[in-house]
Amino acid sequence: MFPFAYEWIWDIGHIVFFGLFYAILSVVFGALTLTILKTMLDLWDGHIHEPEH
Amino acid sequence: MRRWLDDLPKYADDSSWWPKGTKRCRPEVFLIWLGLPLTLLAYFSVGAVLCLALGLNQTNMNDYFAFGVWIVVDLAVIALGAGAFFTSFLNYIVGKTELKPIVNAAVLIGFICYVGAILMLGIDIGQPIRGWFGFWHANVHSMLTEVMFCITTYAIVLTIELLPSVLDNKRISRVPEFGTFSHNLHTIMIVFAAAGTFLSFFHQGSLGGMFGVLYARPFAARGGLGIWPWTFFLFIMSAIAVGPSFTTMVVMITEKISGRKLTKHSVKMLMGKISGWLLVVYMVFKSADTLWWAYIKLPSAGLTLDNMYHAPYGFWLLWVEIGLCGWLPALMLVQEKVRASYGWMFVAMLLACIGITLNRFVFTIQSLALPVLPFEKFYAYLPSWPEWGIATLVLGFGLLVFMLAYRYLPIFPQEPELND
Repeated sequence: MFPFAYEWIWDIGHIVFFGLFYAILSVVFGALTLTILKTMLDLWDGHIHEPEH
Repeated sequence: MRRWLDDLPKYADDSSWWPKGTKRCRPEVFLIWLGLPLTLLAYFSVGAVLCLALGLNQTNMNDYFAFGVWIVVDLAVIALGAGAFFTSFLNYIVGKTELKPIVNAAVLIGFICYVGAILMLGIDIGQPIRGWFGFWHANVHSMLTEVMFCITTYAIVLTIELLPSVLDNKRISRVPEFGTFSHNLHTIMIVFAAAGTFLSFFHQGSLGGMFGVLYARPFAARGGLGIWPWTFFLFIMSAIAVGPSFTTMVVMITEKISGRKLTKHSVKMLMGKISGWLLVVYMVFKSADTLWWAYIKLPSAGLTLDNMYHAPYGFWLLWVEIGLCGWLPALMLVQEKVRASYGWMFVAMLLACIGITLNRFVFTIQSLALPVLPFEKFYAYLPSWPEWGIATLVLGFGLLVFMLAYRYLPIFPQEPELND
């Protein structure tokens, strides 16, 4: 999973597989972090939104 | 029965938690209903304790059947839960906003299917406390590694996609922080829908690819494109074809049990139309694959189609999967007259879901049942009662989560206007 795990090899299989995996994790958790930050900024500015139903 | 339930004494009132403009049964009645999933979960608990304490010898899996009913259920619910990613993809990315009234339900059903499957696999791996080994010591040449990574990541995505529905609960949404967070999540949902589509595409495919690369198993092995066998593409096509059907079916069953309209019939018809045409495309490729396998692939290995089918896994499985539960529902769902009928559309969707479950069954069990060495015999497989108990987890967990979500979360935005 990480380059410091003993069975890690710098081959094309590991680079492609883990490259895509970490890319998608970055997108998901990056988007979530941005949403949390935006919510904090909105609340700071007094922009409170009613939920959609 | 309904009158008897209505006559029960009143003890509590949770109506302030119900979605805006909806009506639900009384809490005492709801508690009685909860008995059903809790009974199933109790059955699961007994099976799980036995398997964890005494080992997998409590199952009927053996050296022949390394995969059993758990993998069949796992593959089936992963395919049936594909309505979540495909409906989100159509709604958020393609712009098919007519599906918006059913997207929440699709995401909820997908969440149940994926989390249920992961929990069940926790028992299947024998020692759940070592479950993280698959991530840490990943074998990048295994289709199952990709499946494991994608399924767990997609379960996280589904949880995030479901979060706005939880935060939009009438009482929770009164907290300004939650309401604002929910609003911001809605605005960025396209990113999660795209991530979910990417992850689902690959794990649905890899589940099929895993069978296609079993070169020593003539029932499953196929040719393909590059490193991907045809089963990779067939599993994706079948999942996106039946996912919308399963979502719609669950909504229809909920409507019948609750006695309330939850989505307009036009929304269900659109889901049926999408499912029908995708099923037609899948059946064309599935039929071509079956013919190629029967007349070219098997003879090239010195085998015939007759070698592949033995009682109880006879030819009837092939006809039921491809004919009765394949072409028939496909041709039914593409007709507007069938989709206009509540009953016939339900029958067609049910047949399609049975067909895909059967497909996952034959690939898992029949592939392993056939002898591949001269000293081997043909064996049938029947799960033990603890195995069935663990397989019921998905049903028990699913019913529990769906009942709670239906009662307290705004899953069906059209419900208030349809039941005025």
